[in-house]
Amino acid sequence: MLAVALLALLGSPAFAHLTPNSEVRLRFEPGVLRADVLIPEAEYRFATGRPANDLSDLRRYIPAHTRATAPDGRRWTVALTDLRVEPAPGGPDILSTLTYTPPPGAPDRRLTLAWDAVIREADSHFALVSVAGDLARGVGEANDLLGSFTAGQRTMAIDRGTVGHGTLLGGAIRLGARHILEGHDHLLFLLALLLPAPMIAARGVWGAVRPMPDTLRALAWIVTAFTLGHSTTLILAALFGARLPTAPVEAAIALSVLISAIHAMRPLFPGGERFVAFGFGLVHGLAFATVISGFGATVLARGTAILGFNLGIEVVQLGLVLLLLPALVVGSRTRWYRPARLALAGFAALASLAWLVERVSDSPNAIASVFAEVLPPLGLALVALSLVIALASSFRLPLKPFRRSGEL
Amino acid sequence: MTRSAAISESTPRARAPSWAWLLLIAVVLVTVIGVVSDRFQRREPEPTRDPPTVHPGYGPRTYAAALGTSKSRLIGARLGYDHAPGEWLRSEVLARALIAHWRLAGDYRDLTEADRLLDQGLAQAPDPSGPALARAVLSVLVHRLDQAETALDRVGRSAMPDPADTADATALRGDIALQRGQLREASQDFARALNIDHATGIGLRGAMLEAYRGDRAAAAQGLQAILALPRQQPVVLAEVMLQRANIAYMTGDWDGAGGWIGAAQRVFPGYWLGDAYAAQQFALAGRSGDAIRAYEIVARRTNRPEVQDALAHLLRLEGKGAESRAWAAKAAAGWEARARLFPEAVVHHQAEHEIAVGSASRALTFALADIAKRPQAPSLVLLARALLSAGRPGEALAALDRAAAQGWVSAGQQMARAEVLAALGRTSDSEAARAAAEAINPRAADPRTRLIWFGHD
Repeated sequence: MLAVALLALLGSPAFAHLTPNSEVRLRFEPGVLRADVLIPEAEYRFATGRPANDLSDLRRYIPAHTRATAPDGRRWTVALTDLRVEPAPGGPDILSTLTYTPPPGAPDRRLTLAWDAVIREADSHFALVSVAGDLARGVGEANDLLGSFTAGQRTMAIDRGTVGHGTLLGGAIRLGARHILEGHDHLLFLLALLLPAPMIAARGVWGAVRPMPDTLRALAWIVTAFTLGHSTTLILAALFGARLPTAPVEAAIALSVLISAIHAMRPLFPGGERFVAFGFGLVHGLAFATVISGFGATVLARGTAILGFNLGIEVVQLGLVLLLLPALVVGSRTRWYRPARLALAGFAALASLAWLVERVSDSPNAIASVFAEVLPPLGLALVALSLVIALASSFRLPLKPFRRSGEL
Repeated sequence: MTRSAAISESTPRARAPSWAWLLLIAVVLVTVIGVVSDRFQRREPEPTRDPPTVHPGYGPRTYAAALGTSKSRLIGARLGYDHAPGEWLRSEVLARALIAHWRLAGDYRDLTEADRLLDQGLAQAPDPSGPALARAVLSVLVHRLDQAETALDRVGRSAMPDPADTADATALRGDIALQRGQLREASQDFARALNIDHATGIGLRGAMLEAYRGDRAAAAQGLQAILALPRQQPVVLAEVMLQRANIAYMTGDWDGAGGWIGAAQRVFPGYWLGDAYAAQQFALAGRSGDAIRAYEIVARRTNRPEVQDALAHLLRLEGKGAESRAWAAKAAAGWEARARLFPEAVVHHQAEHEIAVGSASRALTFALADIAKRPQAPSLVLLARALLSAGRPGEALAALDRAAAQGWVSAGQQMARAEVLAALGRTSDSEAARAAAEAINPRAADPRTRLIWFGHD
């Protein structure tokens, strides 16, 4: 009897039963605070007993469960600027964006935030609060946890300090530089356009090597046209709210890499690189715009931030071009350039295909993940190779035109 | 003639449209490999079959029959005790009968009476004789670890202890070590106990310890060996099969778990725990309505707060607030009633109840009380979750570090770590923890894992 009773000692150690929590991600912008809010739909129904498909109910419910107050006690205005219910693996989520605006003269980075959506009705629910964007502090897309709203703590004092336009500009430069460095597709697009820049197209193939001044001119045109393109849409998006859905933009970027990669293998638009760079630059700018969607409430703040963001992008782009210049110019005068160009272009084409499939099908692609792992070390290797070439040639770039026998 | 043409190479290139074909092939390859790889990664694990060779031996064949037998034994033991209430041996026999009846019926009044009888028996018997082993069993059951140790010390002072008693006492020391998070000591105790006596209960606990330490294969093998033993009681087989299902859950093999749960229901029909697991399987299969109905049947039949909590939790995940709260209130009342009798025994359950369907602040209070008595990894993970809910991720991480230092290996623990690290903004560390969780259980991040109430990690 005892032996059987001993079996009862074997309770399964249980770690924790989980219920989904809400998330409040704050974005501090000059003159305004935005909150991207996620509420699990089942938790909302559990708490309120109301279906989440009634958006008018939600439009009243969410703003009614939050409040922001200035240090002097005046209320910030709260507006629900976006609301949708989207399917998710664990059940639908209610996604919304709230815009908090401080009263005149009140600081825009110091407030007391109150939140009790779902928590008021469901005691064990909690909402994690993080800062997802604070340009002045260099917080872009990362998460900086502030704490959580629980039944016992429904208010939170937040003080992000004070910042001037110089700090804002510096933060935007860092964000722009980081974004382009982490944006593999942008960099690969640029690389694919740069690869044939030292070459001349003839009869449907890349043939002889351009003279050095022509190569430099071609490179300058490509970089400038790309900058003009993405700056245009970036400014349109930031100042006038021009938007396109993310999915087609991302797919178009993958397509731009593919077309550039094919062009690097065989000329598709010889001499027209600058126009293609400008055209696809417009598309890439739309993607940049998603990062800077909240650059502040005032035109001055937005202008400062856009300037900084663009400067950050340009610094990285120009740095990359300068670093790769020896490899492009000197390398193109060797017999190794053709196989290297084809290999790199083929690599870019395959990566873009993987991204295209992933973005069109909206499901993870194992090959895309592999490319994401391989690209950073490959980029570093290319830069290292270019520096070795620069050292080997004592930083003297060949200025004379060059012809290789057998080059196609 | 353009300048480009003038300085281009003169060597003509044969028409080679092959690049277009190569590109097309590449598109197809990338698509096919991507899709196939994705499918491969999400493929269901091979389900473990219900071994048809497992058949029960002697003993009551159904839960109702077992309950009847237990009641008869209880009546017999009570008659014996009533004849000579001053004899400690009769007190022990009745206490053991009460513990056995509690195991099936879940009535904590049985344990209260057993507790009183054992205290009385120990007081009546000259040291080191007396019902010390039964005292230790009950103390471990209700998580009074110090009291259990004192009783085991008394067993150890016996002049000529029975080998089976020595084995049980050693294994009980393993149980105490396990609840204190001392896995190495627990493992040594179970091994020593098994060397003395190959009892099913000891073998099962040793095997499950292997699972907690991360060796699910060894644990499954250990359980297979127990299942292969001849003439097993149906209730024992069902318990072992449900533990086998727990191991399957640990590795994300939900179909395999379902097979073992079905087998447990077959060998010991009417067993409430098997039926509760079966309700859970409905939920995992996406049949929420069936799961709710099945849980309701078990919850009404048994009035057990464990099942009421599982039902309330499922109803909450389904967004059915009123129904969830009604069952949660019943469960809370059930836990409270038990807590009045044995607070240490239910504080972990109360913390779980609060975190799932109650209050985050009360969950933290209970979780802190739980680890004060039983600082084992599952309690620390529960505390970490309560701390995270309270907005204290730094302390939550410290609790998880303590849990990891104990040597427990679990996907749930790693997922908790991933969430805490994410909350701390340590994104790459969080991703590493999540990857570690998925290496243990490929379904660790699947939101349906929330539906596993019984046997989850």
